[in-house]
Amino acid sequence: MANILHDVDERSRLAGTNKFELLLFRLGATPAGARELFGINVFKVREALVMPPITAMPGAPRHVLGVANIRGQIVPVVDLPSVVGCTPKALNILIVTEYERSIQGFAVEEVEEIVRLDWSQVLSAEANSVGGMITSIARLDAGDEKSRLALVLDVEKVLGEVLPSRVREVNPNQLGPKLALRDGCVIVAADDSGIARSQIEKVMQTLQAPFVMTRTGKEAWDKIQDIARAAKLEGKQPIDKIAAILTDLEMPEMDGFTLTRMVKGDDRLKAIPVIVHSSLTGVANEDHARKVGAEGYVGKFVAEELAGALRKAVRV
Amino acid sequence: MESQKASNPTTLGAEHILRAVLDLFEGKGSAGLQAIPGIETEAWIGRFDAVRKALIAGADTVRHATRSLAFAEAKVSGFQIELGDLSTQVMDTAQRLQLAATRTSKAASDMQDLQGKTTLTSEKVGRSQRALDAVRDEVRDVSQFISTTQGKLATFVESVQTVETLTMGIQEVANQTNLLALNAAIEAARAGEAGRGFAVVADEVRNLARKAGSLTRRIDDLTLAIRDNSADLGRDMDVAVQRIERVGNLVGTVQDANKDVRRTMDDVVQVADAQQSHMRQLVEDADAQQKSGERASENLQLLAGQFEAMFKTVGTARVQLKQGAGEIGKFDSPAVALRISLAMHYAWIGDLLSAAQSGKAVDLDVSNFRACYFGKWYYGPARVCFGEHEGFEATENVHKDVHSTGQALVEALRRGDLAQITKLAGELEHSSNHITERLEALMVDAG
Repeated sequence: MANILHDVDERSRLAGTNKFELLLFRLGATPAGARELFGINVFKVREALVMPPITAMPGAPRHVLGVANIRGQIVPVVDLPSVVGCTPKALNILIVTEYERSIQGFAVEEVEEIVRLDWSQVLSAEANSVGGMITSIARLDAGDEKSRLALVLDVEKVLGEVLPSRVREVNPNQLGPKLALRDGCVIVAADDSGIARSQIEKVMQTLQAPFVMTRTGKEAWDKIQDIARAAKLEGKQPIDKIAAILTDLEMPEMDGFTLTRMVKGDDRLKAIPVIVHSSLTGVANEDHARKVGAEGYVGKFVAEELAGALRKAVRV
Repeated sequence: MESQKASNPTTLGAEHILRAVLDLFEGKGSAGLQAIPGIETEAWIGRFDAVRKALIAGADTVRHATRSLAFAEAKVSGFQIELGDLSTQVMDTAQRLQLAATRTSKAASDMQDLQGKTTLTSEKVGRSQRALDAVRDEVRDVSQFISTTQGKLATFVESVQTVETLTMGIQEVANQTNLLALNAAIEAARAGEAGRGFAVVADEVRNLARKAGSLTRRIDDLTLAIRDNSADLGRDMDVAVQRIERVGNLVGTVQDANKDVRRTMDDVVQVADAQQSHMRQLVEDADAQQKSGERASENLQLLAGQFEAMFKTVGTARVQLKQGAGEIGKFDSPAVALRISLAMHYAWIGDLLSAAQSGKAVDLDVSNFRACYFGKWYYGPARVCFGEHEGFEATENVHKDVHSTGQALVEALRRGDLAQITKLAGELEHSSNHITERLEALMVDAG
């Protein structure tokens, strides 16, 4: 009983404990014949369904099977195995996802289970020169060298490739004037998604704001520490060197919640405004962010909103 | 000198007259008698001539009798031996018949034995036929039992299939429950603090779904095993039905074979019955035959005995005749001498031919053609009386032939050369005919 309560506690307090839950599913056999486990952050999932009837649409983009009516909402259905290059036995389950302000269904072969992982169990795929459709690799069995691995899909990239119309372009004309920062001040940004980073870079360049880009929460934290030490040597406060921290939530090694919590828990650093920039759109995620002390929350990816949030944070 | 005495009959004394008579008898002519005066010469000559002719006729008769007797003895001597052989053969045949009868009798008793055994076997076959009937009934029962069981098995398999369908339904429910639990967990994670209670429920539901899933998997495994086993069982039963049908067929075949065997045995019994009566008849016939054979053999032996007695009598008669001929031959008259010499030849030729018939060797030497009665006469006084006669010289070679052929036969008999014996006996008979012709011609010349 105590165990169950512990479990429940953990589950309901994921945000801020550097833990997250991964929904594991299968897409069938890879070209090499292996049946890999794939994973998606539970925060990006609305629900999993037995495959509903799908209405095919003429002229639909490649990998799009059609649309499904999910509780009165029309949702595009993406043939995820075909995107990744797997051959499923059948498309039995539809995972309805919600991120980047977009709701879409991923047709998969089977859903396995939900596993709770520490972000430290997740390795950046990019950092390990794997890349492709995979953003990171999760070791499912902590402390086990022969652990099962789950491939965490870069769902932003999937969305960008399959439904590009849903990804909004950065329009420089709508971002307003240059974002004025004090001299020597930078914005530290952290995002594990390459697409997201290029979008952020575009916005920063348009705003002519100096920035330091990192790929994980850990990397960002280390960078912040470095700058803070440098500032100290100059006899300055960290806030004099770091105008704001822009962080993604889901990141290998250290997630955005943890990064925020650590910044806000550090007396020298807590003055620095933190803006959470996540594809985890939804009220629940915003709540989590506020709870750990973030000043702003911007859903991915709307350049104008990002620029607005940055201006607002820096001004403070 | 005789003509001188004849020229002076008146001085003739009684001795002279008797000499004239003897001359006439000895064949030296009637001139002495005719020279005797005072008597009716012609009448006396006629009378004496009649007497002389009677004497010669007697010698002729002796000659003929000797020939007939010798040749008859030769012909008969083989017959006696054959008669003895025949008797032995008849006896032998009778004994063989007796042996055959004994064997037949043994065979008949064997046959009876066989008949008994066959009858017994036939009864046994009948009993086994009834046993086979029982087996066939049993096979039919088992076959029906298996058919019924097969029907039950089919129902059972249907039930298992129903269970499988139901399990599939349960599995579907479990899957849906699992999905529900998954969604509840997702919802709980998203809800954070607010989802705490929900998370408990989600966990429990998920555990339930897992249990249901594992249970249905176990049921699936079980039903699969049951179906596999039932399929095996079904196949085994099919095989069993086939085998039992085969057994039934085999039993049928054996029954048919049994029927055939029984029929055949009944036939055997009948045939044996008939054979036995035939054999009994055969044995009776053989017994009768044997008795007749014994009687015939006895008769033949009796006959042979009588025949031997007769043969001895004939032999004695022949010896006596030869003696008689010898006695007559002492009378010194060429006509008589010719006839008696012929008779003597017939005597030893008869001996040889008789020996040739029986194949017995004879202690006889006929090599010297001058030593025989005829030889002595021919190379003695005959040459004086008949030297000028036509055919006198020719007779010598014929006579030599008879002797050389006779001597060759004597030697062949001693050697036991049967082929030569038969050949020489034929030649000897032929030569005897030849010398008969020659000497008869001389007799006519000699008057």
